[in-house]
This record gives sequence, structure tokens and C-alpha cells, in this order.
Amino acid sequence: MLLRPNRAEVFVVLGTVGKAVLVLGLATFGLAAIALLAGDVDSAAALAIGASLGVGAGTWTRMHTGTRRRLTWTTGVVAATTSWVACTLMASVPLHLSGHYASYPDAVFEALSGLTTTGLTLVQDIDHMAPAMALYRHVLELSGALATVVVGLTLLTAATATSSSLDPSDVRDERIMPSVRRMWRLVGEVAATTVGVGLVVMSAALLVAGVRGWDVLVHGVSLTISAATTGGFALTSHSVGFYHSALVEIVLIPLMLAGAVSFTLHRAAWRGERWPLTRELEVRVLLASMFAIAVIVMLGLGRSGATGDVVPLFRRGLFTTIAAHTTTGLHNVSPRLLATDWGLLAPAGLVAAMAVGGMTGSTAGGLKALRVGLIGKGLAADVRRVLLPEAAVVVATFTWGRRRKLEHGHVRSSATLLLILLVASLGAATAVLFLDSTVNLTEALFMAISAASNSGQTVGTLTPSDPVALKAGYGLLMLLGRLEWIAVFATIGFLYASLRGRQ
Amino acid sequence: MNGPDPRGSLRRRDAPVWQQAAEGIGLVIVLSAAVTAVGGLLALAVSLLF
Repeated sequence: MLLRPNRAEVFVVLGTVGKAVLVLGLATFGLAAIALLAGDVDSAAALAIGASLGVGAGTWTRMHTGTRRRLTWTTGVVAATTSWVACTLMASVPLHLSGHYASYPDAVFEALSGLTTTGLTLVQDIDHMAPAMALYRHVLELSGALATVVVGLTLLTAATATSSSLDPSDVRDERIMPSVRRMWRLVGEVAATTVGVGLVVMSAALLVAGVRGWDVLVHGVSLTISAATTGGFALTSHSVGFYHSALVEIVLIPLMLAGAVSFTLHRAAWRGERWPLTRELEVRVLLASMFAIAVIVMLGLGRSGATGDVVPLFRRGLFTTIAAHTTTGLHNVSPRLLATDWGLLAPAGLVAAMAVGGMTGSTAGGLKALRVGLIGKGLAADVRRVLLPEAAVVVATFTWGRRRKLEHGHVRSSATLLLILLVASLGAATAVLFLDSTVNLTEALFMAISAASNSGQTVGTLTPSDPVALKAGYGLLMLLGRLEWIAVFATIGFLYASLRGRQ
Repeated sequence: MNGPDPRGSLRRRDAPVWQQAAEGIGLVIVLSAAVTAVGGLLALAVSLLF
């Protein structure tokens, strides 16, 4: 029997949700002002309407939920999940008013895809979308990315990976609010520097690629944010392929990697801490996995006959591998070609890349390199136990910030998430096959993993004409993946306890 | 480095901010240069196979 949350706990959750919606509303107002200055009255009006709703609802909620209570682990994860849903509903309003979505559920899907930095899209005629509205999708990616890192470090990673037992109950009662505030500032500084420097370099690359005028700035902002947040939205239907520029693709690689690198590593590098980077389990697993998958994808590309030359192998194979592994979703090949021309081996490699994902405490999704490493270490320790004499004590260690002893809890928690991801993806793929008779099993699995790992890589099967149930299913996977499943389960438990819990 | 310490400070007091940001960006550039170089060699090797 669950305990019914008290009034203060509900208020602290609602207060945090109100703040999130308020801040996103203010950011939306900022973009509306820029749209107005640029003479785009329609976009400005649509953005202002959405922003007014956000600011109004956020302010009203905060006025009526005053409490001195601070967030705990439980209320924190419930507030995070609820905030994502509330911000999605707010952000869907301007998108729907833009007229580029076939229905309101499509606009909700797009907003959720942006805020979860997934990048799957249902937009229609993106090539003729007003720049302000197109950039709004990137504002959503940026907001979602910052929130992901902060929530990841303070609630998810901090709760499930730093404690020796990987048990959230260890930190459940800890007050996290002061650290959240500080974390926002620290993450903001790193993000501003990455995006700022990235924008300058990207603008230069776009100039070389032949982009001129204001488009340099608009496309520069779009590509930089899309890559650094591992989001994957683009301003054109051809994504990165539109620019026909190897230079643009090369500049995007460090930006995508910056998004997939743990904030802990960013912070350590800023502090000038010198430590053997190659000892970090996450770095080792990520680099090894990227190498192995790049081999698979390139061999698959060669074998399928799609291409066997050096430059196309490098540009298509490596870029797509990194885009999938960092869960970014940008593409320089027509998505449909992945399913029709790339054979089976290369897309299978990309599915594995998306499933592994980036590092913990980054904007990347997927299982995360740390967990893959922990499962591998656990397996190796079990094999050693079998091979060594019965009396031998097997102690396995791993480096994550510092050297740690591998415990059963680490492996169990990681393996549980792997199992959830696999079962959910298989279940979702079955549902996709049931709902959309035009896709095959490979395409269904690709799309299910893409949504669950917040990648946004696509084989071109997702269209606005798909049934609402299919879009809702992908949307649910994006939300579950972003909040690493447990947070959403905890929120459902919280809601159940609010209704049926013991007083 | 001691894992994600939410209370830890980002800044070193003895170095200017631009230097700290440069060190942060340096990490990403070194990582990407390594990935791109290995990817290039890999593309060369695979292209010789086909």
C-alpha cells in the first residue's frame, strides 16, 4: 500500500511544474519578439499566444502552490516527468498554430520530440516554414537538453549511479534543491560556450558551403543547437544532406560528441583536472562501441553495394554512425535509403549504436555507455568466478570519476534497464507492425529503438498519415526513454497514491 | 575528479575563464579528432576490401 502524498508534497511538485512552464513561456516570448522584429507577424502571434498560456498557467500555479517544502528524490522525479508533459502541451500550441502540422496530436508529438531531444518529426513542408517557427523547434531542443542534463545529474544519474548500491532509496530523502540551482548555472555556462563557439565555426563552414546572408545565422543556430543538444531537428527536409558539404559534416562531429559527453567530463576539463581519460569506463566503452559499429556500418555499406569508395564511406558511414551513437538523428543520406539501399547489416549496426547511446549526465539517450560497461564487467567477473578456485575472491573495479568496486547492485540495475529497453522496443516494434502494414520488421525495430533511445534517426516510415495510436506509442517511448523509465514509473505510482493511497 | 558532485564548483580560481573554457573545448576537439582520424583510416581500409 502506498502512502497518499500530503498537500505540501503535491504543492512542491506543482510549484516546480509551474516554474518550468513559466520559464519556457518567457523563452517563447523572447523568440516572439525576435520574430516581430524580423517582420514575421504570423509567427510572432502564434508564439505569443503559446507564451501567454505558459506564463499565465505558470504564474497562476506558482501563486497558488506556495510551500516551504523542498524537492526530494520522489517529488523531484514526479516534478520532472510532469514538467515535461506540461511544457509539451504548452509548446504544442504555437507549433499547431503555424499550420505546418496535419493535426493537433502531430504538434504535440513534435513538441515532445523537441523537448526530449529526440528529433523524430511530423512537420509538413519544413522547407517553407517561417525561420522563427523553425527555430522554435530548436529552442525546445535546447530547453529539453539543459533540463535533461540537470535532471540526469541530480535525480537520475546521481541517484542511480553514484551510490554504491545504485538504489534510489539511498538519496530519496536528500534535499536536492540547492544543488539543482547551482547545477543549472554550471550546465548553462558549458552549454553557452559550446553553442557560442560552435556557432562561430559552423557559420564559417556554412559560408564556405555557399550559404549567404541571414541564412548563415539561421542555419548556423539550427545546426549548432541540433547537434550539441543531440536533438536532430533540421531546417530542411534533407537535413545535413541539403548543404552538400563535407566541411559542415566535419564541424558537426565535435558538436554531436560534445552533446554525448558526460557533463562530469566537461566540468573536469574546465577545471583543468588532469586524469587518465582512457581509464574512464564510459570513455572506453563509447569509443570501442563507436569503432566496432563504424566497422559494421562501413562493411554493411560496402557489402550492400551502396558505396565502396573512401570518401562516401567516410562521409556517410562515419557521420551516420556518430549521429546514431550520440543519438542525434541528423542525416546526410535520405532516410528512406537506409531501408532500401543500405542492406541489413548497416541498419542493424545503427540500431545497436542508438541502443548504446552516449554517456550518463549528457543529453544523449539510449542505455548509456556506463551501463553497457557495467554489464560487461559483471559478465567478466562471473566468468572469472567460474574459472578460479572456489575459495578465490573476485573483486572487479571500474573507473567512473574515481575507481569504484563493482557491486551486484550496479550490474542488476544496468541489466534491468537493458531488459526494459529490449522488451519495450520489441513490444513497440510488434505494435508498429500491427498498426502500419507498410513497414517490415527491420524498419519497425529501427523506429522503436530510435524513439526509445531519443535518437530520431529514421528510415522514413513515420508520416503524418500514420494512426494516432502509433504516434502516441512513439511519444510514450520518447518520454520513457528520456526519463530513464524509473522516473515515469515513479510518477504513475505517485498519481495512483494520490487517488488510492493510505492517508 | 570525484564523480558528479552537485556542490562542486565549475571554476578554478587561479585561471581565467577563457582558459578554462578553452580546456573544456580542447577535450571535445581531441576526442573528435581521434574519432575522425580513426574513421578515415577505417573508410580507407574498408574501401580496399570492396
